[in-house]
Amino acid sequence: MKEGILVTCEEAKQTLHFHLDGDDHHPHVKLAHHHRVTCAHCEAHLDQLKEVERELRSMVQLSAPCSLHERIMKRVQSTPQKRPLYGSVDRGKLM
Amino acid sequence: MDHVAQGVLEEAQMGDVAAFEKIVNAYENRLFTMAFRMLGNRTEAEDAVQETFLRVYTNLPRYNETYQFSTWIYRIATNVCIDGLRKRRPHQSLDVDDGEEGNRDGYERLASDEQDPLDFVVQTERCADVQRALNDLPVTYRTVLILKYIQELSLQEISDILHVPVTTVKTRIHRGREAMKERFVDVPVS
Ligand SMILES: [Zn+2]
Repeated sequence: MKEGILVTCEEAKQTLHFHLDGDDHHPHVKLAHHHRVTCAHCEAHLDQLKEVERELRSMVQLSAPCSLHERIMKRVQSTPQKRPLYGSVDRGKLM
Repeated sequence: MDHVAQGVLEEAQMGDVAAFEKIVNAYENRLFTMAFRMLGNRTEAEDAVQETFLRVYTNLPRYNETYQFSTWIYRIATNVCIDGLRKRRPHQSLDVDDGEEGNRDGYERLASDEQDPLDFVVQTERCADVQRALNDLPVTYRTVLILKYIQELSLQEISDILHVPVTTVKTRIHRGREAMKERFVDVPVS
């Protein structure tokens, strides 16, 4: 089987995600890699998926507002806990 | 990975509110970020975080070690967020199937223009673009992308949180990335 010939764009694209996940041992990834380096279309597709990953990773981590924290603690103080499922509270068994 | 000491957990299970506050401290920013990314606005995110911690507190005596505490708390948070989305659109399915063909009928779009001005304080412009793309994604895909890329959880943890096999998590991530690419990356493929 000659590399690059049997792999269509559609087949190559399916392996892009295995490549992104680091599953490079997946049998088709090598063949698809060969296709990709010679195919601008698939190379661009991979770049765009990497861009999606970058943008998601760079999203700002938010801080919970202090007012929310206070609201939660206030509610908790007036909320009863459920009973443990098995008999009376036994730390050893629970944990 | 758990973020609270075992002793703190045990005290909170006995109803110790001060111990429970340590759990709130350890998770509130993480959960607020997750809820905001899931729901797309501050008001609903705050409500979801409050509801999550109340459910965590009331059910804490029934938590057992079957799953890591972190997994347990994320599962509750995920359920609360998805419940919130269901209430918003009660008659629409939030799920897409995991079959070979993408099921476009299951796609659900949420209004992204209902943000209050405060929401923009916590977001850069670029970040707001990504948020809009997330809001537009089917919830199934949105959930896995947020857990993986924003909460930085492992595939195994995501699998435990969602009660689906790792292979299913991977498939959803693959489809989610493609869906994000369609909505978000504006450079046309030549
Ligand atoms: Zn190609």
